[in-house]
Amino acid sequence: MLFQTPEFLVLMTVVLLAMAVIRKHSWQLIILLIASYIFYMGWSWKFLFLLLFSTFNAYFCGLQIQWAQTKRRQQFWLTTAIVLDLALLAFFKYGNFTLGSINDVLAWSGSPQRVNLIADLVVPVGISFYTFHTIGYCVDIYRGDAQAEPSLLRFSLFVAFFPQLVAGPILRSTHFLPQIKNEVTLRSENLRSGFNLALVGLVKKVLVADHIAPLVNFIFDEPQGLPSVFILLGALGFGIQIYCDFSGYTDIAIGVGRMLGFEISKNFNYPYVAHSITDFWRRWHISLSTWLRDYLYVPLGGNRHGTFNTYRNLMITMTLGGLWHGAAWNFVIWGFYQGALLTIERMIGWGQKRPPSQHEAVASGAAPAPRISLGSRLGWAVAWIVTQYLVFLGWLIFRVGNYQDLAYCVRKYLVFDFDLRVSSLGAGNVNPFVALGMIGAFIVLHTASYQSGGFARRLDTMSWQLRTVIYLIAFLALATLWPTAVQSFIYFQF
Amino acid sequence: MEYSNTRRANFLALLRVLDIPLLAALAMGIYFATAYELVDQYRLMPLAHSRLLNSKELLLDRAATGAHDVFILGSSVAVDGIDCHVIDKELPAGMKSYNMAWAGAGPGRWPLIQPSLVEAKPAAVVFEIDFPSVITNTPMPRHMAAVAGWFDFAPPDYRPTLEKLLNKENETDPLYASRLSQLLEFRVLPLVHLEVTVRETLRKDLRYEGYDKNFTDPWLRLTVVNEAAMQRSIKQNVEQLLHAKVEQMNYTADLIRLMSDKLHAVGAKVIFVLAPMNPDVLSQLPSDYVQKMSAPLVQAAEESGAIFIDQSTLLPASGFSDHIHPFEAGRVQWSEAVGQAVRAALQGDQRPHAVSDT
Repeated sequence: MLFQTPEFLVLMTVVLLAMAVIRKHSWQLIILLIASYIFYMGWSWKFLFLLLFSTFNAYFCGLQIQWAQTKRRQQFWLTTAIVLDLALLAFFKYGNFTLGSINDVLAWSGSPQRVNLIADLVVPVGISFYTFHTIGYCVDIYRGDAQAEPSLLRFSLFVAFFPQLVAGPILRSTHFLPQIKNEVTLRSENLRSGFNLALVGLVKKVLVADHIAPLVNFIFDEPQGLPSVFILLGALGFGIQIYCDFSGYTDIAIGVGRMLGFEISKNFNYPYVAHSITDFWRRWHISLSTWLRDYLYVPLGGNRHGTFNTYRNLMITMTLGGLWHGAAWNFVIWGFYQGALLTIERMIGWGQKRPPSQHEAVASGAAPAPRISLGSRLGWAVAWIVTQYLVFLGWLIFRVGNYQDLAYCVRKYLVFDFDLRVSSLGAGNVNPFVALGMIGAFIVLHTASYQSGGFARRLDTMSWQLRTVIYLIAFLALATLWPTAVQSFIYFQF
Repeated sequence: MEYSNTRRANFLALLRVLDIPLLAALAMGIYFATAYELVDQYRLMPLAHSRLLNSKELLLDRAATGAHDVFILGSSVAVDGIDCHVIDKELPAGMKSYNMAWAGAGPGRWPLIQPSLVEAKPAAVVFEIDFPSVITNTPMPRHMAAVAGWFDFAPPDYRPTLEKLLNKENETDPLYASRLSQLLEFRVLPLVHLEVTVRETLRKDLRYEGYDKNFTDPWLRLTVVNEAAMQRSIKQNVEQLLHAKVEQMNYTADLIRLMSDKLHAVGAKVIFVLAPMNPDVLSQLPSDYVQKMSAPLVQAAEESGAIFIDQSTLLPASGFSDHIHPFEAGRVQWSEAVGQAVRAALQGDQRPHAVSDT
């Protein structure tokens, strides 16, 4: 079930009314859990069994880790939990990728033998997210950072809570489980604030991402022969599309959660204002980057065992992070590329610190940023341009799966050919102008949102008259520009 | 606000945000009213849609005059490749031809216009066929079906026929949906209209002015595409054609039978023309490709007593603006060939499934 469908509107209305009517906490949780499973079964009822398996596995192993008397027993149950979870992920998500890669190697070595791929293997939606929930939960108990949840109902809801189930943000048990222990109470501030955030997310997804997608597809479906200006436009378009698609989803997830009285942690913080790759990863998919830091980078040794090991750990973490995104080599290359950039930044000492923006300083109560001289402003501007150039080069790697096409795109991206004949843009049935308009609108509105501390937050505090006008404009824009076919979210495939 | 977990407090909280669904309902009301005005009254819609509407009105006008004309239907290949001035020279005095092809419209759109076409009692109808349109056979966009439904293109008694033919992704649903549902499908029309208007303004290599009402020389392309784009589109086209299967022709074969039966019933000559193909594409296909792929179409035409003419090898590469669309000299040459075929058909020389007029 997608957020932007009538079915979800019905589900959400029913859940809200049920939360208003039902006073018994356990019944509220049961309703939320049933709603979560209905939401998930909107894709496939068969995969619900995988979700249930992952839930029971983590629930049972979590209790065993807590009850174990010795470190060895704890390690045994932690390993069991992680191996079973990763086995699911490995089979469904990476099974055919691995077999296909073996075939590639066999073909490359001249061997006529091939291994058979697993027929009709589909990646269950959300598997990458809920396995990370459960692995993180078990590790937290093992480390003593969290207590095992004794209630199967509460734990099941933590794993399956519908707003974040299929594309995150990746929940931390220490953050979310305590919230489930409280009775669900509807509060008008939460309802409005959550709705405002969800509305912003819907606008990002439906108005921006879905209208840029046709242009991006047109460019990258057959990029060979296209001039540099198209490739740059495609990279820019895809960067904006994936941001609006994914952060739009996250906004809706957080907003819907807030309407029900739950706080889900932030996942994006204006990544396209980053002045370094390190800064970018503090702002992009925050729940994943912090998860990888806490459950992969730190256990590998983090930065505690010398410079070489720090770089090695960084590369391993980011490369696996790339692979987490999808079972294809371009994601591995993308992760490796990000790791290499982070390593280089560490080597030269760039990006480890950044000055807070004016509104961030005000929001955090810190002293206002010192006045930046013209020279340093220029330096920051150059750093921003270089960072974003590298980030958008990364999006090319992320988007273009075919290696010949990727090599062509990267060459055209890096070496501008000054071929400005753009007449084939807009040929046939491809009309790029709305996409170009949306790219322009995004740049303007995103900058304004950053300067003002976020549109959703402004909506929360503005006068009701102004808010009414904005609601009307947003509803009319959505009604008019709603795509004819419902588009899925990009991150659902991961 | 004082924290309270009572049921009353929960409902009060919901009531305090009741402005949201009410405003959403108001916005939908404004949207519906505006869509009605813009589309129904002002015909603010993509040019392809208004061309469809104008085609129907032209057919009904011609029917009212009692004239027997020649109508040409097809995709952008016919839009760009047929000049009615040239065809008219081949026709008996007083008879006129109309190029009613639409860009982006394959054979799947023929049934929409069929009732009006029958009502116009034409002397002859030429259906242009090109393999990409037949192979792709894209379902009718829902908004186009909604426009067709709104403007009564498909009377209810025609529904069983349409449902049999337009069976992809519930194509016919918007045709017979309620007025409100049809209005809801109109939401993209102003946007696409805006988009095409911008394209018209910015692109000097295309000509859209009057396209929706131009049934004589409606071609869109004014220049030949650059070499890189040409090579890319030829490559894509060849790949698409090589991947196609003969079975993909069956749908169009059914349409040939339907259109032939209905039009023969009002005394019209029915001619199906396999459009000229770019030699740079043809040369990369197996030598028997055209014959093999068109066999079901030829058979359907033969069974229905219609004329099928293969003009795939008619034009040289210089007669195209890109991988598929005839251009300038190519347009004139093809129009002459079509005109001659129509004249022969009107004179009774049917030459069923004649192979290539070159």
